[in-house]
Amino acid sequence: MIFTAIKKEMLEAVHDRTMLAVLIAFPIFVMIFMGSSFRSLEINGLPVGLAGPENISSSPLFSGLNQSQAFKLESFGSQEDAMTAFKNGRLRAVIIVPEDFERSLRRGSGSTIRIVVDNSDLSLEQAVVSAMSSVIQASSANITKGYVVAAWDQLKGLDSSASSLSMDIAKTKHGLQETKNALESTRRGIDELDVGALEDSLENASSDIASLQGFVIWQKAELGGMSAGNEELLNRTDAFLYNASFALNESIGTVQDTHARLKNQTAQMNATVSALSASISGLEAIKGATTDSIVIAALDLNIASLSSMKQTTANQLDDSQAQMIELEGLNSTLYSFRDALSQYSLELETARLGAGKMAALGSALDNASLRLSDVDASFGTARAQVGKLKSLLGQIKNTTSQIDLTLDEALAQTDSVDSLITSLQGTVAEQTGKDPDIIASPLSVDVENQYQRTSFVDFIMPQVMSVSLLFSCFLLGSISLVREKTGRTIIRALLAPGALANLVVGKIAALVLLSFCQVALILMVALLLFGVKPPENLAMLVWGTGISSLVLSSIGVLVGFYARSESAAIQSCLLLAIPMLFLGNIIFSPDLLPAYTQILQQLLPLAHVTSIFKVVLITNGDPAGDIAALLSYFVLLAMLMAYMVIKRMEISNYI
Amino acid sequence: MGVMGNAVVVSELAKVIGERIIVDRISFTVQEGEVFGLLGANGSGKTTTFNMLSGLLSPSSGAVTILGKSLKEMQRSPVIGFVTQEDSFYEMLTVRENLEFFASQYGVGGDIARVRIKKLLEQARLDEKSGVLASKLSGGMKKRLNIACSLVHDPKVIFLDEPTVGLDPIIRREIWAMIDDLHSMNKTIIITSHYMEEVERLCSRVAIMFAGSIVDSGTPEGLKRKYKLKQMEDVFAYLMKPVVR
Repeated sequence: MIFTAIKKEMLEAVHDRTMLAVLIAFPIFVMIFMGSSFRSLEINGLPVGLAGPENISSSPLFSGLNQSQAFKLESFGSQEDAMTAFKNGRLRAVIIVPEDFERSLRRGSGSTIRIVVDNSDLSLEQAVVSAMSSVIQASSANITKGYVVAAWDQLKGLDSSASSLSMDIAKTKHGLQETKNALESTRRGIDELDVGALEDSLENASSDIASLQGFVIWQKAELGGMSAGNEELLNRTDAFLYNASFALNESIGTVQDTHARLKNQTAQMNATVSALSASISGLEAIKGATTDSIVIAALDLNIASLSSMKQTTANQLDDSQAQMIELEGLNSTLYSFRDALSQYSLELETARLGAGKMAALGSALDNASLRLSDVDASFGTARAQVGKLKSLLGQIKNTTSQIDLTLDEALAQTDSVDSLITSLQGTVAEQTGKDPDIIASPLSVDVENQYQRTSFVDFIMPQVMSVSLLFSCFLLGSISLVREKTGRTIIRALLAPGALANLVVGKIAALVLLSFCQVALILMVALLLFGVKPPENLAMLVWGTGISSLVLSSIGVLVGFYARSESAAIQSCLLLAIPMLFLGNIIFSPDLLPAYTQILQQLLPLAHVTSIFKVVLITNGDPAGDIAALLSYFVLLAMLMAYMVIKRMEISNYI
Repeated sequence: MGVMGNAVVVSELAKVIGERIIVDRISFTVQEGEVFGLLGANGSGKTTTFNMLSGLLSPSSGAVTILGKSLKEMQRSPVIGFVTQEDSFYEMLTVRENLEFFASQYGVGGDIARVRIKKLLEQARLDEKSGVLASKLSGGMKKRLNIACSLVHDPKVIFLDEPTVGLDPIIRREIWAMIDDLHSMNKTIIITSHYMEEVERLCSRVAIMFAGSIVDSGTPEGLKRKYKLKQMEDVFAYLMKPVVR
């Protein structure tokens, strides 16, 4: 019993061609399109506009986007041009890049890219944002890597500068060592002062003194027989004393001049010691302010060098001061001798007054001879000291010149150190001044929905209207014509002249009117219950509804011509409606479907119906293209229906 | 022009579908104002003949003239009224709405339509049910409405395809009464039926079909005399012998 029932059902299914078509075609179709749809939910070749600085498309980020194959980038000269193409439906999204994009990235201050997306298609919107974000995230990582590499390069540059500075310091150290050697040489020079030269000097002075002394002795011998010729002797003695005093005064002047110069020199040396102390203090301060070991090492070398120089200079200062004391002693001796000569001169003057005074004169001459011997000795010593002093001063001059050079080099080094510190501080400030968040994610995306929406209901209204019209026009159109056949009323339409055409036109017109009511009802419910945004262009909504329902109901009526029963009509309608639901921009975004289905989609009227409602209700654009497509459809359908009405007038076609 | 006084002239009319002969070169005439019966067993070709006469089906050969015009010349002329065997009106329209719609299909409107519908409603005794949905009518009322829908354009020649099949005797008599009224209005009526009582009651002449051919024709009385049988039913059975065998 059960077997026969099953057999009967199977036979019925096989004999009913429509049901057979549904049974076979439906699963194949669903598998193909569902499979294709889900397989290709990633975007493929989506037309996206790019507006921004010149040649921005060749930047790594956007060439990466282009190579991702998800997007087909098209560059525009201006943001306005891109937005116009977007509003015309040629683009699905527009990437707007700020003018300072590359500069901001190089600076490390990050940049924000605006993406204007067609949010009238929810699935497309999500897919676009997701795909673009993933590409940009990958690019962000590359940019962060670039930052790190740049920072490393800067640090390597600093390391190179420090190495160079280290070499400079070594060079300076060598210079200081040379200075030290020169000072050592000076000391040796001082120690090896030529005693022979000193003796020559002393001998010359002694020779003069000996001449004087010979003259004094001669004068004393002459003094015993002096008579009339005494006056001449006295005159010659006066002249000699005058010459001797003059020479002595010159010596005193020389000693005083030397003393003054030496005093000046010691003052300068004191100043040098103070300057060195200040430099050392300055370098100590710099050293205290930095933590960089290279810089500290360089500064320590400089400080040590300068301290050594300071000590050398202080030692030379002490020597100079000792020389000054000696010169002061010599000066005092010379003054004393001059006083002695003055005394002798006075004594001669006294001797000139009388012969009784000759004895006193002889005594004075003896004293003078003794004093001359003393002066001779002192004068020789003094000459030696002056020579020694001249030599010392010459060496000191050389030493100070070398110290100047060394100081110049040391100053240059401190300048280098200053420059290095400034560079280091700049680098540190630049690197630490960057926002870690920006370095971690230098590129951000500001997604901007092109169309305002109060809720998601705004965006499903086009689909709701399309589906509503699809099923009502298909089902009512086909079933009502089938009922004409099953209810035999088609016979009356076949008998009355022109009645079949009237019947068909009447059905389609009625469905168009009902469609207006449906759309109005949907709109009212959406407005009242969901607070959606009312359509801005009502006239276009009426147009769109009219042409959409005209086409869909024509298809429904044509199905009714062929279907022999209501169930067959319903099955046929489903067979036609389901592909349209898949490809008609209802469930899946056409941009997310395989390329061949996008072509097929253009042939399906429901895609244009949905597109018109989207344009009217969401984008407020121009649905002329879709209306033209539907009008073309309607012309084709009208011709088919005319053929049916004219050629299928026999009852055998219907009953 | 056809033969004077003949409303319908059928000459060598045939219908062949594939290799199957449905109607085999039949010929007969129906006079104006006559009630003509076309009798035959199921599958004898009555309905196919009717469809060809009314223009719903094109013949394979032969000629049909209705009121002096060929079918081609008539092009579904409003002179023909066709009463289908099954009800053919809109269940979800009222009685009046149905009549108004079918009148409009023949271009009948305005006062003419109103007067004609009123008359038809009275004739079919549906005037009190004019506002009732057709689906709510009784079987007899539906049959009367079905006939009224075929008469709304005031046809001269009326085809009734088994108008009383499956009806109880009371309703059948109601239909007969309507046909009598039409006859009294000098309408030419061609009727098919299985009921010999009905044929004898309504038809002035009959033609009996068998396997697509007319095996005999004449007045019921004449046929009974010819075959020396008392009842028309016996005559029918006699002529259907090949089927019985």
